[in-house]
Amino acid sequence: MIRIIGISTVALALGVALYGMVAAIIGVHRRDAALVRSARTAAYANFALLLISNLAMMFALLTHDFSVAYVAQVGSRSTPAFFTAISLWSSLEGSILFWGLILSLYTAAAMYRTGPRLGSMGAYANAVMLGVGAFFYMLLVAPANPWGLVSPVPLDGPGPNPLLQNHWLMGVHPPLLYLGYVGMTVPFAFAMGALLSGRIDDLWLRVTRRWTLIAWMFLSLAIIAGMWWSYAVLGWGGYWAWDPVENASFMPWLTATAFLHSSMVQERRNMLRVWNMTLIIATFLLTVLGTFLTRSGIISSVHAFTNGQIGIYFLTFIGVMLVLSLALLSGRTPALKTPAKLDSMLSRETAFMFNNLLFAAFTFTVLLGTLFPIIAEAVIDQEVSVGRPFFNQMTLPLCAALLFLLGVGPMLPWRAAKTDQLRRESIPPAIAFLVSVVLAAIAMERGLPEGIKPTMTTFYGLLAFGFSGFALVANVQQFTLAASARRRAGGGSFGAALWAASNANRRRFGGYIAHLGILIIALGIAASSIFRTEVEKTLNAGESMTIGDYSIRFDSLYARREPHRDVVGAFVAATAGGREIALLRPRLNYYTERGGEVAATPGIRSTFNEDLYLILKNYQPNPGAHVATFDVIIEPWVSWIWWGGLVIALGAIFGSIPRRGERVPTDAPHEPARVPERETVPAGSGV
Amino acid sequence: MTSSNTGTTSHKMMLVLAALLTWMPLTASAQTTPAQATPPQDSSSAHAGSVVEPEALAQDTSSTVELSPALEKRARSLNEQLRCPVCQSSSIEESPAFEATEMKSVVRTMLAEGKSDEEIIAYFQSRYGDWVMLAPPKRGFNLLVYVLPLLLVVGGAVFVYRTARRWVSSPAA
Amino acid sequence: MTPPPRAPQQPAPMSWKRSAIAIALVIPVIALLWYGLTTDPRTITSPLPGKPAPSWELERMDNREAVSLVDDAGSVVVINFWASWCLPCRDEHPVLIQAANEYMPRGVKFYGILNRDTESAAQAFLDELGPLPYPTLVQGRTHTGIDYGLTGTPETFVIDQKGIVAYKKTGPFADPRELGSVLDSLLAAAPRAQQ
Repeated sequence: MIRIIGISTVALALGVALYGMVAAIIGVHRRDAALVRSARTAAYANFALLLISNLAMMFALLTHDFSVAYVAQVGSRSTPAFFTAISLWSSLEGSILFWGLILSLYTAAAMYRTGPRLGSMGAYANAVMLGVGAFFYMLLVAPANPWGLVSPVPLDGPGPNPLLQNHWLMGVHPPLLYLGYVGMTVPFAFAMGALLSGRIDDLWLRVTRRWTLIAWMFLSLAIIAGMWWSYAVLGWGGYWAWDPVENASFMPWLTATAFLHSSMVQERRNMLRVWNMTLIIATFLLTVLGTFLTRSGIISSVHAFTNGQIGIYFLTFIGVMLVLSLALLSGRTPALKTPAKLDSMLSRETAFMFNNLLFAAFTFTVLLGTLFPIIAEAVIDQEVSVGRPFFNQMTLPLCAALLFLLGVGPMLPWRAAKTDQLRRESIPPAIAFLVSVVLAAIAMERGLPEGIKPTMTTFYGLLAFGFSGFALVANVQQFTLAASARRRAGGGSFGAALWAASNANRRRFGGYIAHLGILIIALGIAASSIFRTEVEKTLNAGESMTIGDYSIRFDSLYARREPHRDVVGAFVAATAGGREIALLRPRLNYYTERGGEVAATPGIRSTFNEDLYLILKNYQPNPGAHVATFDVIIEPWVSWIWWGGLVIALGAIFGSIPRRGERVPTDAPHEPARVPERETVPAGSGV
Repeated sequence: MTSSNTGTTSHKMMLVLAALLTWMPLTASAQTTPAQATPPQDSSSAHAGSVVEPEALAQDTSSTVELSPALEKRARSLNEQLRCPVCQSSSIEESPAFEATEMKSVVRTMLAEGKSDEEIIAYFQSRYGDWVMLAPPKRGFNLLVYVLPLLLVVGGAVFVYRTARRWVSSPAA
Repeated sequence: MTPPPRAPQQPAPMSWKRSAIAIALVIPVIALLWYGLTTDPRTITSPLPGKPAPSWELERMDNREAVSLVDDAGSVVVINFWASWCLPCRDEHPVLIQAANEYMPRGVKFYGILNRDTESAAQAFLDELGPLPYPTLVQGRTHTGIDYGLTGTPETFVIDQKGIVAYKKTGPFADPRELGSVLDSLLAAAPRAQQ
């Protein structure tokens, strides 16, 4: 029964989406408002159908209905309810089902928000979103059907991928990632709607600004949550490995970040119209490419989600979308181009242009590096690997340059900077730069072990601290300058003035808050990688070792048999200043049913200032005399990365709160605020 | 999945099984020969989550060569450059896999013998090919992956600068 | 700030020629990804074939006697890395026995090298599936597996009379003729080489 509900809703969703897509397009051509309206209804219906299908799957999972293929694949009676529920997205079929739900939610919400106001552009945008949706529903019906019948019904299942079932972050990271990934479909669809309808002014940008910002926020949070998960679960002492899966989530973030900046140039100055279209198309295609890379098994990655067949479908989809969007964009390019005019080289516009160049180069580097193993194999038939050392080496200079611009941008006003003002405003950041560099150099001098030569990494470390200090002060200064100006004008306390000034231009100050979040993350990354102390030591039971201010005492080993894994761990006590501060249990997990994968789970004691991170590397459980080898790491400021993520989210939310009395963008911007109630499709909207 | 992969994974399973066999000689799994690769019997409730005294375990304890702090640093940096052959895309430094542990032990042994970084890298390249390097060797076709991004940044900077210049001097739109 | 003075509802023109150029640019990208789909990213080509075989001196599991590859200079040598826990090794076991029985009389030396296994488990494996007609060697504290660029078990190397790695097989031999044909061609080349 539940299978019938599940599969029929998905199949129905496919039909409804295809109908809606065709209805919207024909409706625009025939100027048939009823057809266009029915296409919108199709968007709402899709959401309802996908919601039912997802609820049905959730029900099947929680009731352990092993006759359902997906439940038999990822379910298990011994898995706790929370992890059973989130196993909805632990494997391919379920995650596509969940993806479909989010996509239909975005589509319905976007159609609900914009209604008929946007005329043919809105109708086309709906058609694009429904078309993308139809692709995913088709996957659910054919190659990735989670609703297959299993017969005979097994009594129990293997449980979800073990790596995905031992941390609460797995309940958070995938939904955030999908909200971010799928959310990029909205601005893409409206950009396509603009191109298709020929309504190529900045209407689509104004309509989708908040959608993009919110999707970007989710994507940022997802990346940070993924880093945190990697740090807390994978037990290698790091948080970013430049793994293809990480790159797949990072590339659309880079292009979306570039887009958030360059779209402002278009809104302000009506420039960079082709470039903005390119960026949003790239962002969308990179989300699909990312899914393709991680789901097709084309590239080997830590995250072993693979399925041979699905790759062909994704590739076809990428090809079709690439051809359609590029053909449309290049066809409209002559019309999109507007005469551009800058007032000065020293302006925010130029800063954004260089910012965009760096983001584009960054994306290209990551994309090239990720795909290079395939390229090398195709062209010269050689197997090469492109991993962390390559990406660090190539992207650190870009990161440093971006940090520098992060400080310069806010100081440069639109149009033209006044030289004397710029000079005055750049003094505090410049001082901050020097102070940060000197402090970092002193810390390095004291912190680095004897006989270690300074390397490029230390050079970039100095730059990272210097530019972070520079940009931090530059961005904070924007708040203080605005607050003092308001105080001079209206008096009151500094705090009240700060609040009022920030609220007067939430979009701008939301951006600066997000900048601060990025800087907090940059500092966290720089400090935790440069001032990281790492010691590997073998201890007998009862023995202690010291690292930094800590004393680490190894008490004994323990072994435990859990439902889907066997665990060997160590009881460790950490003391500082003679006081016991933490009991840690680093362990090794042996996943018996999944081919016996080994995964190390670290013991972490986290504080704001530094993390103590213990990995159990090896052990000898000689009777009565346990021996264990530990990798003990101290990582300063590493928790700043997670906090920085929250600050980014705060900035994005602050920046998207509407102004009071803000006008809703409509199809007819030159008309007064009166929103046309009648449902008409404007004339001449055919291609 | 190639049989080689099966081998690697089931090898790890063997260790787990061996461990379990020694811990729990009374459970049904004790009768299962490891190579049959049936997962250990799903734990009877008596054993689920219970703490067991880990007695003689079959954990491979490859000899750890003691190194000076400077050599230790070099070992780490070498480990970070070498790709673990059985674990997708991570370096041997990060991997708890047994092959990676073995390779780390080779690195340490060679360092203790006074080998240079280049000699150690060359050794692994001669056994595993260029594939083992996480940053592709900078020669031949591989140069593209280093040069193209650089060209884009430099060319792009020139382009953006010139465009901006042109737009500054262009008459008002 | 305001959009250009253009009638809001007049659609922009399309240039189809530009579209065609853009589409042409897409093809190589898709072709590349398509190619990527057809290859397995996890297979690694060993650089060893054609190179001198890494030498080793290892202990026999049964009588602790030292055996060295150098002693077999001039003979064709087959080295099979195996482990008792590896399922494909189990399938390969009879194939290897058959090949060894056929080719050992013709002067081919066979060795099994135990990789990441305990001797007791390996002995249990041999007790169950039958003994090998050739010695099994243990690695002890050496890293012979890494010397041969092992990525798993079983892996088999065939070394020619000059000590060069002539052939490498990743995974099990399913068919004795596969190993046989390699050995035949090496043995056929040998008399000429010796004269």
